[in-house]
Amino acid sequence: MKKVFLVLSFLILLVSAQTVFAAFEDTYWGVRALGMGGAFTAVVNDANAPLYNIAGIANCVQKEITLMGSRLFTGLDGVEISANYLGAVYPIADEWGSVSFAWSSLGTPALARYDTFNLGYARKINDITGIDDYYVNLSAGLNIKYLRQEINFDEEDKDLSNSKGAVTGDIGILATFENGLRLGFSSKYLTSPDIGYEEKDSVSNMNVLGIGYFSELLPYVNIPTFTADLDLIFIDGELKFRLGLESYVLDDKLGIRLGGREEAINIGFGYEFTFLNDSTLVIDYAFELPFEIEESYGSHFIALSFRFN
Amino acid sequence: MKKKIAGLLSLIVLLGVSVYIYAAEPLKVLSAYVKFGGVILPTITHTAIETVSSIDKILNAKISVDFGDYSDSTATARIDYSVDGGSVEQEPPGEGITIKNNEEFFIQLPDFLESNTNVDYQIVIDFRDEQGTIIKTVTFPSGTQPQHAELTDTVTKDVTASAGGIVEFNSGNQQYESSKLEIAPNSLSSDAQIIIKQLTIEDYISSTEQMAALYQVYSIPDNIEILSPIKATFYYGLNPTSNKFVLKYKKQDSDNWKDISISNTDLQNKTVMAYISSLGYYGIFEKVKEEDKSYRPKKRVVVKGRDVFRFNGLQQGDSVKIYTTGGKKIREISSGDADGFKWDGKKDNGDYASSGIYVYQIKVKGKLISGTIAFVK
Repeated sequence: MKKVFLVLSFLILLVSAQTVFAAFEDTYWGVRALGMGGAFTAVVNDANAPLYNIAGIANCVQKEITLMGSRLFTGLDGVEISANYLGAVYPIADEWGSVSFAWSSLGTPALARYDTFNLGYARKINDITGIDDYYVNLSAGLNIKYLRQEINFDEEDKDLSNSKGAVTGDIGILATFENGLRLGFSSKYLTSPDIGYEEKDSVSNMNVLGIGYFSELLPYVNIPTFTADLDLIFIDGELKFRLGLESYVLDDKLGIRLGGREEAINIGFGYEFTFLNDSTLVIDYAFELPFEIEESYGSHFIALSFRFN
Repeated sequence: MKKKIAGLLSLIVLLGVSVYIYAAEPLKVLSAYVKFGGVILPTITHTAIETVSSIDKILNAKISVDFGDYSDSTATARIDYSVDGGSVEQEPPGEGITIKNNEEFFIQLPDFLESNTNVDYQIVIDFRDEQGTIIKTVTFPSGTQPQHAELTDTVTKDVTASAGGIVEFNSGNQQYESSKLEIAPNSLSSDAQIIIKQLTIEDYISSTEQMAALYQVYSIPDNIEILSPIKATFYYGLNPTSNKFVLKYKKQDSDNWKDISISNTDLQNKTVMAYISSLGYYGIFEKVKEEDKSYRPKKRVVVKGRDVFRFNGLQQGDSVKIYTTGGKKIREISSGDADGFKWDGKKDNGDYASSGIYVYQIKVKGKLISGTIAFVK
């Protein structure tokens, strides 16, 4: 147990004080995660894991693919920003772990677009660490990612190339304890790649610690299939947080979510349709209302996911 | 087996949707799909010729051409016309004006309007290859029969009080409804000549309205009374871009305009209809949306150190706020210099913002204008 905390503490000390590249922040990926305000680093047990904490894909028991579309800041004439996400997880075997692919894209037509392509691998590491999985289930993973930005420059800046790209990686660790406690740590953009046009412009290393709790029936208040997550994000020398809650009702078919961060509050829900024995189709929706941007009706996110053996 | 087929189908659907989203230009995808049906021919739309001003005698044609599969070609446009059955002339002379795909343009015919003029015209679009050779010609109307337009600036009709009548003013536009007065029996106090005259659009200064058409309705003799309201339909013309109109009235040219209630706005026929109880001047005004464009930065992508974002036309009391795509405000600008308000890419704390898309919100005259810009390093 001490080893786990030591490792996590060490990784937190790697916090970078550089400026993060706003376009590649993981603000808008995965509808289930968004319903929980983006607090997902210690939850990560589905195809939304690759961008939050790659270690989480080791806990996926079925193959899964998810596709998300969105419309940000509706109600504002002249603002047309969309965020799209595609995630896929393929569990090979317990002893071999899982692999994943994820693509995320944030953009405004005829202005700019930021894409991330991720190839991930994760496995359970109790056998390597020698820690008994009766008390804690440990997993770790690595994401290799290609970042690409595409800018539609004006005529006078046409000497600059339209697109720039770079390769970097993420690592993640997840610890799920027998008593429901979950700890996750994800360090992203490990190599701080430079994708600047005019000058060095690094995508800074970003570290997230997730503290979560899971209970099949939350004591005292009897909330079924309850999950909570608090993400502490160390970014640009500042500490930010995200908080999310989730509960599944109706025989664990309907997920209800609530979350938030400094700039917005989120709600969401998802319904699982099980068919053909073990296959599941999931429809998720999330809504985000920004606090600071005026006259917006909020942002809408919808995803279709499919889990199968 | 069923499970495998269902899984495969779901994957195909999800991948198909993902490709669609990644393309981010669904119309192009749709267009490509339509092209499987065969060659898409050019089409001419929104064509009409009308009297814009009776005094300046401007005859105007508003044209838009979808190039179809000829989008890689250059195209020129002209109008072949004849006046009162005379010889066929061409405007502009030569090959015509160069036009672009789906862009509206105007061709004005020369000043030849007399009291009543008949014009037969045909719009001709020539598509040319790189060598300038005509590879396709399309016309409106298609075929050899030209479009006929009767152009006038004044109509006069004798109306008997007991029978009433319809006074119809055809501005020359054959596609849309004419202006007209439908006078019911016993609506006038005595028999009279009723005249509709189209006047030159006035300069009307307002931040929210601009004049689209102006008519004078009067009688000879001029001392008749309107005993019951007359149904009046006014054609407002080709040029307005708004869908909302206001009808105004003034008895004398020197009077101030007063609003008249519009009973119906017919966007298809480009008319407004109202019941009027007085003769005088009637102006149709389009409601103009506050011109947002002038405040927005013309340059939407700025590279650090090369330029700044310029928000023009703002004054003391106005403000610009800059937000990240995550919704966090990073800069508020509440003053500027003679060139307007500027954002150089710095946050409120003096550090440069990171590269990315930002949302701006301009507060001007109590109104909020939003948009997106990209800051690049």
